[in-house]
Formats: sequence, structure tokens, C-alpha cells
Amino acid sequence: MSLPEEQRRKIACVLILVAAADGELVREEISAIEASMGAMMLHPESREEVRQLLTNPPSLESVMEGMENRAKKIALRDAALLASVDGDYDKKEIESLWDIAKSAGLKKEDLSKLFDWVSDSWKHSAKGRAIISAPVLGDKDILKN
Amino acid sequence: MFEQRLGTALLSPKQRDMIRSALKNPPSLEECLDGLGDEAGRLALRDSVLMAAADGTVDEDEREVLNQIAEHLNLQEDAISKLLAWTVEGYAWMQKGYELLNSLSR
Repeated sequence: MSLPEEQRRKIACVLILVAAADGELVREEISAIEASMGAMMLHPESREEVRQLLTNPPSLESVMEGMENRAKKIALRDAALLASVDGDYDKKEIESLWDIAKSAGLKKEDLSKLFDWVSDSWKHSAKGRAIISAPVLGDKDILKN
Repeated sequence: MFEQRLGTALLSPKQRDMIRSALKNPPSLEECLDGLGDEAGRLALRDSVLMAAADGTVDEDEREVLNQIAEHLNLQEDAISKLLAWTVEGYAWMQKGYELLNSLSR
């Protein structure tokens, strides 16, 4: 990823805020945030700063201040993936995603396209688990559709 | 990819450091497979295929190690081929995500 460290840190901050939007942070969400910070090769100190946000989360608006538009789009993509990991999109998570989308100059239909793309990821993951015979609950239904 | 998987596994920072140091001084495959449960082994194989393909190609040495893991786990002969085909689909999906981001408004 060619974004500067500060922009990548802000992406991770956005993820924390979206994940916490519904009032709880489940293991899968923490795992997805840690994976994202790893994929972005965020500095360990930045990762620690991001984790600390959970105790006193700033506003989404203040985090997005100074974010480049392409960083906002990547944050939106990763946040949409993250928000769906606990099974469904919570109303507050959708509101947060819409706030990010608006800030990046996107429309409602853009967000719908992104949700479709996220759905494809679940089919793909289920297919992978089927290949290695390690299915999880619900995979059969996902693969049927 | 490596750091991503360490994050997904929710390993502690110390464990991550230990595993990172193994990059410089890798243990043998036998040591790694010793005591690995069936399901954990299959998940490790899936992620190993993803990792091996991350640079766009899977060279002969990488393929050989993947085959050894599959053999150790008693998997079907075409397991690696299926996982590689699945990995290609996955990278196409990721690419679609980038293209989607670029095509969105503004």
C-alpha cells in the first residue's frame, strides 16, 4: 500500500470506530482489525495507539479530517468488510459507513455495489473452507445461494 | 500477507515477534507439522497456498512444500490444485474491489 503511515493509521482508526458503532466489539471484528493493520504494515506503535482508541473513541468526523480521498475509499471498503463479520450490518454500522461514503463523495448506489462485493467475499471464504473440509455454521446456505 | 495472518490469528505481540524471527531462521517443516491438528493443518495449508501465491506465482520449491503438507494431512491429490484455483478467484475478487473503488463517484 503506497499510502503514508499517517493515512494508514487513520484507516485503522476508522475501522475501530465502525466496529464499535454498534456498542460491542466481537472477537471476529478485533481479528479483522488486527489483520487489516497487519496487511497495511502499520508500525507497532501506531497499532498500539489505534487499540487505545477503544477506551476513549474520538468522533468519526475528527478521524476523517485530513484523510486523503483514496484513504477514505479504502477505509470504506475495509469497514464494509469488517462490519459484516459478525453476521449482519447493524443500523449504526450502516450509518457510519454512509458517513464515510458521503465524506468520500460517494452515493448510496456506490455503497450498495460495495455491499454486493462484500457478499461475494463470504461465498469465496465458504468455498475455501469447503475445499479444506473445515466448514463453519452457515457455510452450506452461503454456498447454496 | 504474513502480517495479515498474524493479525487474524490474534497472537500476542511477543508471539508475533517469535514468529517473525523464524523468518530469519526457519524451523524445519517437520518441526512445524509435528503436533499440528487436522483442522489446524488444513487451515495452515490454505493460508500457505495464499501466501505462496501472494507474489503472483508459485515456484517449484513452494509447490513442493505445499505438496508435502498436503501429503502429511492425507489430503486428496488435487487438493493443492483446487486451493490454487480458489486463490486465483480470491485475487480476482480483490482486484474487483480495487476496480470498484476506482470506478465509484468523484
